[in-house]
Amino acid sequence: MILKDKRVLVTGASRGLGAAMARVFTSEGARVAFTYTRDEEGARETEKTGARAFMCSVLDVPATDAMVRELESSWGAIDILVNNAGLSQNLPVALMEEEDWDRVMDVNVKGTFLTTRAVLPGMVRRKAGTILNIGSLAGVRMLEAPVHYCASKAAIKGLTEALAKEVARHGIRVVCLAPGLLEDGVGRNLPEHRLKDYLKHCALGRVGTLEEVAAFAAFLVSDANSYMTGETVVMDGGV
Amino acid sequence: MQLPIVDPKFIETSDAKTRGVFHSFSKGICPTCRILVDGVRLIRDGKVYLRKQCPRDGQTEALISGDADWFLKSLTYITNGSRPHVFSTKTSEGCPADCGLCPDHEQHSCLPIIEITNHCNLECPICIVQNKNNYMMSREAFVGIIDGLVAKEGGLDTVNLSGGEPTIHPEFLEFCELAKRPEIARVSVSTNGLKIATDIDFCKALADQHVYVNLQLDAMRNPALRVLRGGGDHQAVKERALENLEKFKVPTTIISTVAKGVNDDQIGDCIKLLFERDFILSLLFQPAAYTGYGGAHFGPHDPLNVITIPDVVRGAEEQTNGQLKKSDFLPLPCSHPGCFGLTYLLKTDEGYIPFPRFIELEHYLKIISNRGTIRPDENFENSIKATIDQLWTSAGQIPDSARILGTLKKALRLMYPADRVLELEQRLRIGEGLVKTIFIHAFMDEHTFEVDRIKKCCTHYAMPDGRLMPGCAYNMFYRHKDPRFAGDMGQAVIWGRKE
Amino acid sequence: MKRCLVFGGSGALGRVVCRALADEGSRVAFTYHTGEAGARELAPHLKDGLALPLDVSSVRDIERTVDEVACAFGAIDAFVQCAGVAVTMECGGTKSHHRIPEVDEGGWDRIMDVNAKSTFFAVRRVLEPMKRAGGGNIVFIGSVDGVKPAPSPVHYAASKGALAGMTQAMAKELGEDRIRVNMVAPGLMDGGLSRALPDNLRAEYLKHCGLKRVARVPEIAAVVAWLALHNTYVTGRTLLVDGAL
Repeated sequence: MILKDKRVLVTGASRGLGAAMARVFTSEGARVAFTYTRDEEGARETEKTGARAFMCSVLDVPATDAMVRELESSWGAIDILVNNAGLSQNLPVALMEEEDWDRVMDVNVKGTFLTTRAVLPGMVRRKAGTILNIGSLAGVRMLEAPVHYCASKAAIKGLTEALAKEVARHGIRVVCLAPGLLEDGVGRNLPEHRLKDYLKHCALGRVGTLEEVAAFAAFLVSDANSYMTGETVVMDGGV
Repeated sequence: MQLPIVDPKFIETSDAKTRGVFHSFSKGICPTCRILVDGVRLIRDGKVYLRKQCPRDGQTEALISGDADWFLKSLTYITNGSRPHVFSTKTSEGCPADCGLCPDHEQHSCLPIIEITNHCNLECPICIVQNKNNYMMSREAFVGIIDGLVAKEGGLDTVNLSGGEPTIHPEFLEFCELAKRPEIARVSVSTNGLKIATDIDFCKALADQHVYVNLQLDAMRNPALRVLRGGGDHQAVKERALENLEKFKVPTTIISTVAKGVNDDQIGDCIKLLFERDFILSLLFQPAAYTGYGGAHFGPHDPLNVITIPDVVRGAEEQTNGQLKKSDFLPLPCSHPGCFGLTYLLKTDEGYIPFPRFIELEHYLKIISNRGTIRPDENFENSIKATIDQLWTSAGQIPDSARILGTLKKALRLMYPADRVLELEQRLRIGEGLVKTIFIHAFMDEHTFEVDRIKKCCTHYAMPDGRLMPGCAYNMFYRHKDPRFAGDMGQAVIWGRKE
Repeated sequence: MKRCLVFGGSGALGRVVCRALADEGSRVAFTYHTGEAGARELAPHLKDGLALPLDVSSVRDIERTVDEVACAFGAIDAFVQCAGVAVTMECGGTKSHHRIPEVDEGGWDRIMDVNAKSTFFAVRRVLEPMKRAGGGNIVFIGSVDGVKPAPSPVHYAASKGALAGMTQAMAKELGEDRIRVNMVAPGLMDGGLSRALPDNLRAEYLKHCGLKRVARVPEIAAVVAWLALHNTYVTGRTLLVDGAL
């Protein structure tokens, strides 16, 4: 139970990695709240693991603030924030309009920034807290992936490092977890030949499971990992 | 030093134009005694003729291309064939006597056809096979053929069930089910549509089983239909069949056999049908081949004046008010260029745009390369990328580039959404909603048969003993001695026959 | 129940790693060289454990030791390389930082032999028992030296850099055997080799370290233990645990 009694907020957990983290964190003893926007059915599923749902877009500042206030009031504090909400669009540059760029950058990067900004004051006051940002191998290595998605994930890496430096003096840790291709991630519709090529270059020869990434995430945010901050950890099976 | 001007009378004879220009040698068969004979291809009057010399029956000529320009250009589309993995027979006597495929064959099976019966409920005057009404394929034989095809080809885009009239086979629906394999993307059936029109549950079953229907539909109106298909109110049947297919959204291809002087003025009508109905995915024109129990005796038939691929193309251009142009159609590079012509059309918000208008030829050919159907693989991805970049940077030089880009973007969003997994099947279906095709498939008969064409044939009849028989060779040289059909002719129940 | 082999288990970090592994129910075998006292203190805490003396500068001894453990345990699920040498030990404990002119051939060889060569041959021998186990985790202990540009003796940084290279190359080669290879690169720890660091460099470190303190050994050991026991998909990576340096 490495997250015993920890109070965790996860954004974007109605499906995929977010939902897996909600599940795994709860089984490690944490109390979990999560956000979702459209996927009602998915949110109900995640709630079954014992997590509390908030319908709240990471771009909606008033709603986010209200949620944080509510959690700090009923829980006492938010110990861990996982900025997981993110999306991608399969578009080549030629078809990428301004609105497409904005959509991905807004949800992935600005959303992380806004949510962090809402949760940080509480953490600073208590001089304790951990923030986990979900990045991607695509933001760390040169891969064939949509330009705006890669830019957003590379931005997450930079955000993690700078934020870690700035809040370390309050004892707050900020870490980025950058998974490679996962079994139910944004790369789910990769054409067969591209998937085959990726796996050819992956030492473990398979995509990652949500379960194992969530398990690592749990360790990364746990108290045992108290000296790691500012680091972007890649979990890709050796690409 | 100036050369003297030569008097034209020394370099051009008065009958030059009527004699024609030699193009190349060929090998065909004598239409009378059917032995292999030498021939030459001549260009005369803007058309291409095959002139043959039979030691017994003398000289004959047949029109093989109604447009010399198309013919000459099409020869430049010859690509390396994609050779078969497995050969069933040895080459000994030479083409076309060793079919099976023999190692001399140059193209794998793009389109395997399985004739599950030689019973039929029509007696079409234009029929190119020989329906003796005495054979129904057994389940074991069918499964054996499917297994064999999968083993030989690996993956297949389509397997076609045909006949006779395949829908009257008592186990037809089971056969459709048996043909469902992960290696086989589509199961299609070629049918006259009678059962579809009269049995609504059957039509629903086809829809439930995701069967693709190739519906025989030569024309929209009875007079032409009757000439080609025999007595009966075909128009009503076809309309009802279309209704039922549309009702259950069965993906449909319309097959129109085009015969000179009969329905060659209804090409535009068929194209209009294709554009107007969503459930119709493609249109296949088959210039009439005058062979088989029906075709060999069909009239009117003047071998020097028949419909060829470029004639259908011209008909398409003339009868759609220029909506389609000759330049939109290209030969299919993978089989012999004399056998197929086609165009792909992209559905945009404001109508259909033929691919060749916005995709560079090299990429277009790559996409359709050895298959004739589009597959979302590496070639496709590279070609689409190149096309998108080109459209994007062309700054309006390619007409409608913005519209096309918009459609391609929509296609990408539908086919590769980031938030949902799609199976290849679903992707193919979405692709079908955005792309339509017009194919032209020219079969050969005793007049137009040429050995070099048969060697590159990719439309093979699959035999229970594992052999694959190139279509036109089987129709003319092997069908009549197929042991499965030996024996007396059976009793046929013909629809629409006036007793 | 995991079967772990830890080189340098008697060291400041090694000890805590061994305890952490044992606390999660693993069988732990460790090696010691000069740290006999530490070894004796550690051994009783390891249920069904093994303590083996080993001078890692001898390849043959390394191989013998690995074989012994493989034989005793049956197979090996995790191998942790904690044995390492810092340059200042060469000078008999004086707190000086070796600059290039001060490194002679013997000095170079000793550092490379202990830090890099021994690691390679240990892994080479461990492969078989690890494959027998159906796969496993290999963890090297590196350093921020050789990963982030920091003032450091060149040959020490070279040896740690060699470990980083080995991490990647080994991960690629062994992936198909389900063997994952990673390195943990700690910043300064409050025990171990960093005790010998000159004061001015220590101050420099603290100035730039976000958490403004050196690491407590258990904090590093936690990451090592997780990678050794629980990791299933991270491979070929160096994890920096440096308090936002």
